[in-house]
Amino acid sequence: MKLTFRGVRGSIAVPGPKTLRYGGNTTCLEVRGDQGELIILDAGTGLYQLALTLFGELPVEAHLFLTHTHWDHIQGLPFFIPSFIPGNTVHIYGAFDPVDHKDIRQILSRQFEYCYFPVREAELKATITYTTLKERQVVQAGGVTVSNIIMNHPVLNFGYRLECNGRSMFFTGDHEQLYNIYPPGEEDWAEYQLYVNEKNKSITDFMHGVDLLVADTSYTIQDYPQKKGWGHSTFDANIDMARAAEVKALYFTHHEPVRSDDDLERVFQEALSRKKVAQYGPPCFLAREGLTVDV
Amino acid sequence: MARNIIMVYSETELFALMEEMPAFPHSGFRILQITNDINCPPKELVKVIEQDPIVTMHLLKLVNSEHFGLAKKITSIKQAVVFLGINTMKNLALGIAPMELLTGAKSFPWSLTSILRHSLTTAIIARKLARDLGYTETQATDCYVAGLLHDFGKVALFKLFPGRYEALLKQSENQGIPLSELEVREIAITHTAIGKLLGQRWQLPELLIHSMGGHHDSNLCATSPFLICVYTANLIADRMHRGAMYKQSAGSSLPAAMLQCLGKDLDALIASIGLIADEIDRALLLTTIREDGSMAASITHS
Ligand SMILES: [Zn+2]
Ligand SMILES: [Zn+2]
Repeated sequence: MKLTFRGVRGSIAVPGPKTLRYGGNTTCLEVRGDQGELIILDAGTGLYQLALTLFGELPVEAHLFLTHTHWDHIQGLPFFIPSFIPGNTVHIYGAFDPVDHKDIRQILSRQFEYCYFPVREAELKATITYTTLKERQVVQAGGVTVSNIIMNHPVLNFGYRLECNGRSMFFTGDHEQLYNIYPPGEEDWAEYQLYVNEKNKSITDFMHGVDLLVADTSYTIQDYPQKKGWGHSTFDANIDMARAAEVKALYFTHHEPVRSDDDLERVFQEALSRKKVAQYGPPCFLAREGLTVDV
Repeated sequence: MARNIIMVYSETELFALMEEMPAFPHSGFRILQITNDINCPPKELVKVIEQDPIVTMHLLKLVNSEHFGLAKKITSIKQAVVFLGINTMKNLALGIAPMELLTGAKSFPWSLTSILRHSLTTAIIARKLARDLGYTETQATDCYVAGLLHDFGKVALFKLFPGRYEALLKQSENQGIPLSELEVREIAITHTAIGKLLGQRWQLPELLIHSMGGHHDSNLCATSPFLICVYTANLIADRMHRGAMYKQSAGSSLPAAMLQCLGKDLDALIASIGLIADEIDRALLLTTIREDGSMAASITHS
């Protein structure tokens, strides 16, 4: 497989001189299977950059997997030009909304309502299919096998595992390291910790041994205490998770919108030395818009 | 034609009757209160839920239902928080709190659906009116709860006179006879009277006692802006239910003091409220989980 980062920013797009090197678009990953299958993970504003590259290969068949439907992960969707062109096919997959009781089509169709967007969903010319996924439901997209697990975020968020010809990768979507809501010593701490350990293990088992892990790394350990419960992880927690899951390489993404390129590189280097990555691995990288890596 | 025996209750007889009533569902109330606070510690929410076996059971039923699509069976609230996240659990708890508050029942009797719908509608409108009047979110939630509970007396009578009270409700609706008239004639007690007694017995805040006991008393309600919201919301909910017929329904205009407080008459208020059917349906959805964990296929206006 080949992975190209089309958007690596978290929360909101931040174009400008301070984000030129790593990019200002929000989450979108383009993955190509060995037969050229097009798998897209999330539809942040980076999706538009991807759309512009697709005109040379019409008609397009795209498999779009949404980790969750917070704005920064769907904002590019109405501007995914292949959806407007007859002959193209877009398969959209995502989780059910258990609170408002909506399937993925109902959730997304709101984006195309009159007050938000000039074109109605029904008027999209491409063939669009919607699949509301259950946890661990397996989807075959050409030669690429895609499966999912619920991560930890303020809304149901799927982490996706992709496999193709013996190679594999995992994308967390938005994910906060699990934590105990009870202080140590309190009566309920131990029981809660059991579940935390169980969930952690199910996540690391699920991504175990992947060749490449892309992880939501919004925060530094200094940021984290003020941002606890907001649904995003730290460099340090992701390095720990990658080691526990014995992944072969780790890419940090969902960069904080306030982080300039220089700041990002600095906090990245600090984390690497604090966690002794050079010594204990795994190889770690910053995701950068436009960067293509072989999986 | 068999004539119903008119019963007149002594205070003692009434309290004896109410022994059969459930205790006040504090957890539903607490959930609505604490979810209002964005900084509410997760463990507080977990505690409130865990203390109430009915809420716990409903939440577990919900997260394990087919629609949720979880790969793993969830057996405790703490586990659900770890596996689904605190925010999802918080929103689910918020969704089922109204039913808990209104019925306290282990399973929801289908015949109560129309009372539930009317109560939710009143609650949602009362909250909206309070917000429009510029009250804080906490005060708006108080109005929501007051609206939700205003007809609790009906739920009580429903339980005290199974079958019979349902027939009264139908008769009132079909023949257009005021419910309180029928209540006095047939069972010698009104839903507001028993609502007030319950509210006092549970030592609820005054707003709730007045709402349960005095929501048809325009003089009483005119004394508090929050009661005005409940009184008005109740009228609007009634009109919405009657739908096309509402133009003909007379005698439901607002007293001058309320008009002054709200700054609009009933028609203007209805117009400003806009479409809330979606919001009500959504609220009802979570309250209609069947025993087997599935959901009602569709919610009908009973
Ligand atoms: Zn995000
Ligand atoms: Zn998010």
